Amino acid sequence: MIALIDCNNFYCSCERVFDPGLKGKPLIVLSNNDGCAISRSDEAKELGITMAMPVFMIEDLIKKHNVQVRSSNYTLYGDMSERVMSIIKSYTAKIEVYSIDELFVDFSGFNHHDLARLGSRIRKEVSLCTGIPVCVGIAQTKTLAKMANRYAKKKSANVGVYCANTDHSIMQMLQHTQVDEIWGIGSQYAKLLIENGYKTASDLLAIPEEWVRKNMSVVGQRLLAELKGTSCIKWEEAPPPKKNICTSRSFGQYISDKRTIEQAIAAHTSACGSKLREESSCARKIHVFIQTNPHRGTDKQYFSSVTLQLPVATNSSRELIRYAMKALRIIFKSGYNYQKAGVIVLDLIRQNVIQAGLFDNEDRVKDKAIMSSLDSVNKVFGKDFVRFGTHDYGRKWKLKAEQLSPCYSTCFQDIPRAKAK
Amino acid sequence: MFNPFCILTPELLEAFIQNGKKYFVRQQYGYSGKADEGMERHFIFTHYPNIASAMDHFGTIENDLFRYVYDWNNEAHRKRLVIAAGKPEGFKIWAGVFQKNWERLITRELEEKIRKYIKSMGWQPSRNDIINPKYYLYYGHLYVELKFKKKIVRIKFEEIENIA
Repeated sequence: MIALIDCNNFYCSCERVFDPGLKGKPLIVLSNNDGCAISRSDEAKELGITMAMPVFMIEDLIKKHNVQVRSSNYTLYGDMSERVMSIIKSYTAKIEVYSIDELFVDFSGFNHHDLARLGSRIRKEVSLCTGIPVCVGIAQTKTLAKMANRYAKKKSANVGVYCANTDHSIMQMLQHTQVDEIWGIGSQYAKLLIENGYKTASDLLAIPEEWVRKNMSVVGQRLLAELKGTSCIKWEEAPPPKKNICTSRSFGQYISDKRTIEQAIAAHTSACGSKLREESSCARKIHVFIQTNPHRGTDKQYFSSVTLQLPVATNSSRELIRYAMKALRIIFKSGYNYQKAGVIVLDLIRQNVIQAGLFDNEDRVKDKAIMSSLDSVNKVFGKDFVRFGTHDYGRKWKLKAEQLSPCYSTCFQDIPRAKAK
Repeated sequence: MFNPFCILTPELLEAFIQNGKKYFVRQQYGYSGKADEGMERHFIFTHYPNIASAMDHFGTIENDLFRYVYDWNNEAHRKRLVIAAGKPEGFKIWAGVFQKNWERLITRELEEKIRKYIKSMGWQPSRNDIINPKYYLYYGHLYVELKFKKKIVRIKFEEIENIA
């Protein structure tokens, strides 16, 4: 059996853990640059605020209903996510972290346990230790577990656990799930299925396999097998190695001067370098892009990008920044209001299989030692505590985050204080 | 002004609807050609399959006093769309679709301006290099994409037209 454990309204729940005054109030967390609502409390959902709704479209609603608004605080959410995951890991080692707020757990060794009770226990412990509410869906396959989780949220929110381990419980869940709510069915397939009279997940069990193969390819066949209880989606205990890494951000304000864009590009490149070293990978190419805001119809528009081939694959931030600056010199044009810049490191390979260059005169041993020291210091004192000169402090280009909550769990200065009388 | 777009006709409107493009954003279109002297106003109607995309576009043209979103499902809007597609007198209504053989409208003068722009980018294509400009409509503006080796540039085409 497989369980899918998913945190409820995760970003909002994280904010509420450290600010209990937010409980019971409509709350939304915004995307980068305070653009759109990306997490909503149940109260906010009831007001009709939908996922990814731009803030400028709901300003009146926010004022009228006193909706609490927070900028996204990924440091806090990342740390809270790790805490939730570590509690679940203490029950079983075989887990697959699917995203920041959900994971699959393999319960195959728990044949003699009451899985619904186990799910409730996990739910209670996560809530007690972290304050984050979670829902648990248990079933034979990943697709059914995902469906069970959704069913638990919708139909038994108080219990928060649904175990689809009998024919009756599976059928009940399938009958209450519309085809467009099934994990893996996009809008096109949903449209096709509805047009052909298949409305709920239980209807899909009756579809002839030939029809599925013809109209929905092997993806549909796999999905059908999963719904029938045959596991077809493989288990990924460790995420597959990345093929490329991208760091890009919209600026908090429009930038025209080259020096500021250089700082942003250097910071993004340095972040890419750090991620590469974490993954023990090296990049063979670097891609840099800058762009204006296409939504400002009256502005002059410019998008430009360039990909540079590196002579030897590297994960040294110093070397990557040098090439990124070269790329920026190629693409930068003055006279535009730039809104976004980004760096992508491409063509990644493991760092132990690098092809050295015959004419390479970089001191790679020294570079490796410097990067290693830099990573160690930053790990202890925080991201970018030690940084490159070009990088600066990003005062002008930093993201807009006017409602940012403190990093309660990762920063000494931000640790909440309690007064005892 | 370089204008490769089609006039909105009833047939074209019908084709949009048949293909599920039921939302149209109206905006002013800066055009003045000799053959069109006497024409009062030029508009371009851009078609979208959903209201969200149309509203995205609509939000980018807030300075346009004549901006409007038509929804084919709305009876009153439908009537106005049909009128717009019927070549109403005093108006020239363009659709967001390239006309047949539009490439022939690119004059030598424009080609020269494109060359000048490429030169200004510091690109140095050799005799054998081919740079094929790719034209597309984005939020009611004509854009051009230029690619050379690993470099890409996308700009409004009017910027190239304005090169002296």
